[in-house]
Amino acid sequence: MGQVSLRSVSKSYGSAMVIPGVSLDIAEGEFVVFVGPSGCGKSTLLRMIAGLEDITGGEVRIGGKRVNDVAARDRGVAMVFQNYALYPHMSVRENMVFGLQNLGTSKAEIAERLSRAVQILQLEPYLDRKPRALSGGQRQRVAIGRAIVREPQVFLFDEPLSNLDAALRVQMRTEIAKLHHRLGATMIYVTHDQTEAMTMADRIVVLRAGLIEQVGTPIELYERPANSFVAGFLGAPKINLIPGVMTGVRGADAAVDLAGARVPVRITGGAEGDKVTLGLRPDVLVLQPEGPIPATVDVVEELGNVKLIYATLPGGHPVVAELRSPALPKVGDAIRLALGDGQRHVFDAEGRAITLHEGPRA
Amino acid sequence: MSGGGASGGSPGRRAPGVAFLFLAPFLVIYAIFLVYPLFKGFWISLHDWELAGGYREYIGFLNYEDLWTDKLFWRTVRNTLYFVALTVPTMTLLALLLALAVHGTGRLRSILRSVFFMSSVFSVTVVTLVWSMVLSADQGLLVPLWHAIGIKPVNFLAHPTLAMPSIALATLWWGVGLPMALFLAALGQIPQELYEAAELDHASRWTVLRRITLPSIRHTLLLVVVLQIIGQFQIFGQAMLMTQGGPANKTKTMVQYIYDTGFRDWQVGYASAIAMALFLLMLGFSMLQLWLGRKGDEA
Repeated sequence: MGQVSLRSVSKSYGSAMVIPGVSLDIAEGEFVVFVGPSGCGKSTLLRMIAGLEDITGGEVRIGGKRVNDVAARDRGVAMVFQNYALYPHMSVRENMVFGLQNLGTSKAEIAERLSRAVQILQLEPYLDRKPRALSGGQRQRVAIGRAIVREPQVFLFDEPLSNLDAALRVQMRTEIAKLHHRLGATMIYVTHDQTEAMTMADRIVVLRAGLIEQVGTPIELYERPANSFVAGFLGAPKINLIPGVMTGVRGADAAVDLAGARVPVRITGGAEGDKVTLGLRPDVLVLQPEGPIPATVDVVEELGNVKLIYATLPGGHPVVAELRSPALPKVGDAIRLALGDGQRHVFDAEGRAITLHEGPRA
Repeated sequence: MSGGGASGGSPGRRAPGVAFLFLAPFLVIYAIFLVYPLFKGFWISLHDWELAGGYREYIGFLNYEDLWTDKLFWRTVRNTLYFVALTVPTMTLLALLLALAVHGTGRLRSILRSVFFMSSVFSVTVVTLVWSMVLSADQGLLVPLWHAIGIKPVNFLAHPTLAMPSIALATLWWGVGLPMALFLAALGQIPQELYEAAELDHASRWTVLRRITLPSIRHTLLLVVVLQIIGQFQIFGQAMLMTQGGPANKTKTMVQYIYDTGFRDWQVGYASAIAMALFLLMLGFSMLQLWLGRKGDEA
């Protein structure tokens, strides 16, 4: 029922092409997160699935049925908007049952669905309040409740947490994840926040300029990014992307020259002298007195369990290292870094990954 | 607040003089041009006061007693109320419908917005001239129509029943622009997402209008109605220029009666008494509207 399939879906406004073509299959019950920077077309794509934007080309199917020409209301989807979009002059109760009333659902059925949603979201004390008398988090819960009572095939979330403060965002993140577990419905969730994507998704779709850069589970995308954009987008602190030159290519073995140090890497292709980008997650870099990579400390951030060292390589390239050692350098210190365990990503001049991954796919 | 409580209390409380200083420019103008004339008007209405010459005699409430038994006065009150009843609901509804129709994007809509607003910039002289020509029984715009269907041309402005509706029609055409613009501004404030949510909630167009649009613009609706009441009670120019109050005082309005009494018959004291009555009528209806609006807010 709740599977969604996109076939070469495109969108243009006049001559401006915002989504050149997206194909994607979302299984029933899956939690898929569209993630990407502002203007990448993720919200537009979601709105096309909802039926709130016309589809310029391609095909959208929901529950196996082509819905290109089906009105938004008849697609069996419910949407949670970024600004909640609660009807300001209706009480919480009226907001939640408005859709069911319009459908002519029986009073008994409405009452039953309402009480179920109210119980899931703990909205009981607020039922007779107007949205303006609620906090941001409560409003968001009402917006989710309004979607739940409709029992849709597919839930669509358009950056639903971006108006909440950090603490509330974390709390609502867990609540939505729990909700997905409980309802087992298909959910498509748009965000620009990579943490939300990583923590909530069954699968993440990374978009850039209206094109899918990569689709996969969070861990797949984190460990085996298809390109430097995906590598840079997922993971906090951000991956270090350091330009270098490939040397000593022998089969899958090669090295990248990094500030005078030779970093051994495993590659799937590439030739001697190729310009490449070395991708090192901050936790791969370790502090070592005899380490091969010299650097100067710019900033030290203590986050409790970990410490972040922002430093500059001799070539002027900034790097960040995530350390767990108790001893900390001070700002201005000359330090030496070495490479610990962990993947050394290599990207070619176009940014495509040429890293050879050992072992089975995650 | 105790004198020692320096930490409590707002700055305004500690220095009320400063607050008044900032309010002073408004208060001075308000007092000179609104409060003073109001009381002066009331004062004049207690006199037998002639426009020219110095004849002024205090007569207490005699003007008001005369007013109570003045048949022409009650006729003008009825005429004015009739005109208000003809114009205010129609104008509000028409402005709302036009705003709903031309609200949104698109070249045609933006052209129509200007077209509907354009009549508002004409002066009352132009408007009444245009409509007198349209409604004229001799060479009016409608005459060919009457001929075509074989009816004797109707002289609207001289017709006892049709004269006032004709003036109301001209007024609607003239005045619909501003309330329409107010409604357009209010409609533009409604977040698009509400309509999208309503679409996903299976709301019909009628339900959307009733449950989303109208509640969202209710403050503007109230403002338009109050402005219309205040404006239409003061009907003068159209009636004066199109019918001169005729036929048989059927379109004589309160303001015209004030004008005739004060400036034609020089009875400024009596004219002021009528003006006070008009003021109370307008105040009463406006307060009623505001009260109804506030009641709706609390509900």
